[in-house]
Formats: sequence, C-alpha cells, structure tokens
Amino acid sequence: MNRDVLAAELNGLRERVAGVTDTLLAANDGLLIMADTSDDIDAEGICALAAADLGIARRTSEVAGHGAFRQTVVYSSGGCLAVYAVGTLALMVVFGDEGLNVTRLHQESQPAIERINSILTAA
Amino acid sequence: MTTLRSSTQLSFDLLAGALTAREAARATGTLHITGNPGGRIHLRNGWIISVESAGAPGPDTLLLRSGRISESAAAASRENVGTTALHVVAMMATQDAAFSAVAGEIEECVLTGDVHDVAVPMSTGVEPVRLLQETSRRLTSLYALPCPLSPHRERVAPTREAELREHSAVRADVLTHATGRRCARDLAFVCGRSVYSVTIEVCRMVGEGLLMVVPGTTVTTPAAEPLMPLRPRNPQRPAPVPETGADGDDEPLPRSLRRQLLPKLFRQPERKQL
Repeated sequence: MNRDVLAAELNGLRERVAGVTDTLLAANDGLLIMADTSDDIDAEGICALAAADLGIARRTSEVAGHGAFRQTVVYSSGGCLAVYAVGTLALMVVFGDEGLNVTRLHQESQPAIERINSILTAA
Repeated sequence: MTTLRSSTQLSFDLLAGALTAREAARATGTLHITGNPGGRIHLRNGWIISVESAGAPGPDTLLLRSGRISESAAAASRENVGTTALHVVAMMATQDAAFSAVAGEIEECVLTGDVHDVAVPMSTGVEPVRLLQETSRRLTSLYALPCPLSPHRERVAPTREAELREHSAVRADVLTHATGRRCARDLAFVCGRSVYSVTIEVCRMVGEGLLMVVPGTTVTTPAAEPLMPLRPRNPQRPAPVPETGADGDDEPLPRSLRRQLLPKLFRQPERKQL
C-alpha cells in the first residue's frame, strides 16, 4: 500500500473542495489508517464513531431497499462531517466548515474514493 | 504571481460575460457558478439580491460570529437585528462572495430560471455592473500588494517574529487561528470576517514576515511500518476439536474453576412471588 499516494489523495480533496478542513481514512472496524487532521481532533475516537455511524447507516440503507449505500452526512451548526464507504472494507471521514458545498464534495469525492479503494486493496 | 492573476482574469471574464449577457438583463432566476469555490447569484428582474459562495461566510455566519444572533435560533433572532443592519451585512456578504468566487476558479456560468429562497437578501438589489466594478476594485487592490496570495490556496502559519510583537485585534485573531492548515478563506470563516479583508491582512502579514506560507500539511499514520493492504476476513473455520488429555479429562476448564463458574452460568433467575 502506497502511503504517499494515499496522503496525496487526502490532500488533493482538501485542495479541490473549499471548506474541507480535515480528512481521515479508517478500516471498517474503526481502526485508523491515515489522518490529515489538526492536532485538536481525536482521530482515533472519530474513526471509531464513524465506523459505528457507517454500520448503522449501511444497515438502514439495506432495510430501506434504496440500493448500494454511499455516504452519511452529519450537519452541525458549525460545520458538517461526511462519512463515505470506501469499498466494503474501509471508510473515509471528511470534516467541513459552514461554507462547505456538500454537493461538490460528493462529486469530487467519488473518483477519489475509487482510487483510494484500489490503493487500499492492492497487493 | 502571474499565474494567479491570469487565472483570476479568466474567471472574472467568464462572470462578467454571463452577468452582462442579454439573457441576464431583467432576468429572474439563478446564475450558477461552477468551479472551486463556485457559487450562486440570485437575480430578480435583472437586479442581484444575493450572492452565495462556499468561499465566503454568508450573512448568518457573520452575524453569528459577531454575536448579533444566537446559534440556537438564528432565523428568529435575525428579526432583532434591524432592517438596515441586515441589508449592510447582506451586501457585505454578497460582495465578498463575488470576490471569493472570482479569486478562485470559475469553470462555467449557467443562468437558469429556478428561483431559490434566500435567507438574508439585500432589501435593495444591486446592478450586476456595480458588483463587477466592486469585484474588479478588490482584485486590483489585492494584486497591488507586494505579496498577493490566493484566498483559497496558500496556507499560512505564524513566524517567530510574530510572537515578539503586539498586534491589532484582526491580526491577533488571524495569528491565533493560523495553524498552517488554513488558507485566508478558512481563516475568514473561523474569525467570522470577510474573506477580502482577511486575505489583504494575510498578504500584508506575509510581507512583513509575521506569517509564512506552509508548503503542505503532514499526514499521520498510527504506525511507522508500511501499511498492509486490506483483505476481507477469512470465512469462519470449524472450531478445533479439543485434544483429549492423558488422564481422560476432555474438559477445557480445570475442575476448580468449573465448580465456581458453572453454577453461576446456569443459575435460574429468581421468580417474583405473586
């Protein structure tokens, strides 16, 4: 697995989408793989919560019968946090501030997620 | 800084072309600006009533950060601000959003007839030409500085010299939040100030040696060893058959533990007497 290429993908997403402040990659069990975050963020705690969030959202999506699960977004007064499924084995967390254009984030994140998934699962 | 200037000129030309086109005259609808940060211009009978952009704090953010409205009921407490004050804040946010969109990258401008609700519109609309003039003036002022920076690209951190000096409120605010991970646009959101004023201040501070441009951010991984590729879990194997001991005892637990644990595990719950 190429660490530098993964880091470039996380950095690239932050550069391309205004309002993205921090990004994380974790395995589905909530274990941190890589973090591009500020020091005041508890990356491992967020990974664990995001894994739980993703699990519930994925199950809800299955029960609702709306097809393949994609992402879940938590909106707060000071910003939002998007959790994306990266294949079936990992997840990506994106932190955004109040100005983040979530539609653009979804557009830009999809190709990045595909690339990240291929890196994570490459031998 | 030629690259910054030429890309901004292209963005400005695209926006100016769309706003001064025949279709925009007396139009009611939305001009969608695609790009980074992009935005939306709300038109009513050819007048601009609001510009929104992911690159600039909106009126609500400016009012919240300045403490004029409360976080719990932004819509309700907006009524207490006053019509004139709201108009001023809406105009500031509109001009700032236009500057921010043009200072970024505009890919395309598309005018549609859909009318969206605007949370805080200007009470009197502004002519597209006036907005373009103001945007042009702001860009010219930015490029006139010795160290012009993009509000969306360069991330800044304080230098050692910054710690040795006393600073104004704006500069102190910028220095507090400039962690090396934030560009001028991010700082404007955190500080609750306009992107234009923060960008100008950041450029001046870089020129004075109080801030430095950070080339890239550091990515952390939990372990120093190479990352292993992810693999799905193996299908569950059948449980191994415990080996029979020499004394014929095939229980996995010692007798002493069995005596202690088994009664606890199989204890019947006490029934309540009716």
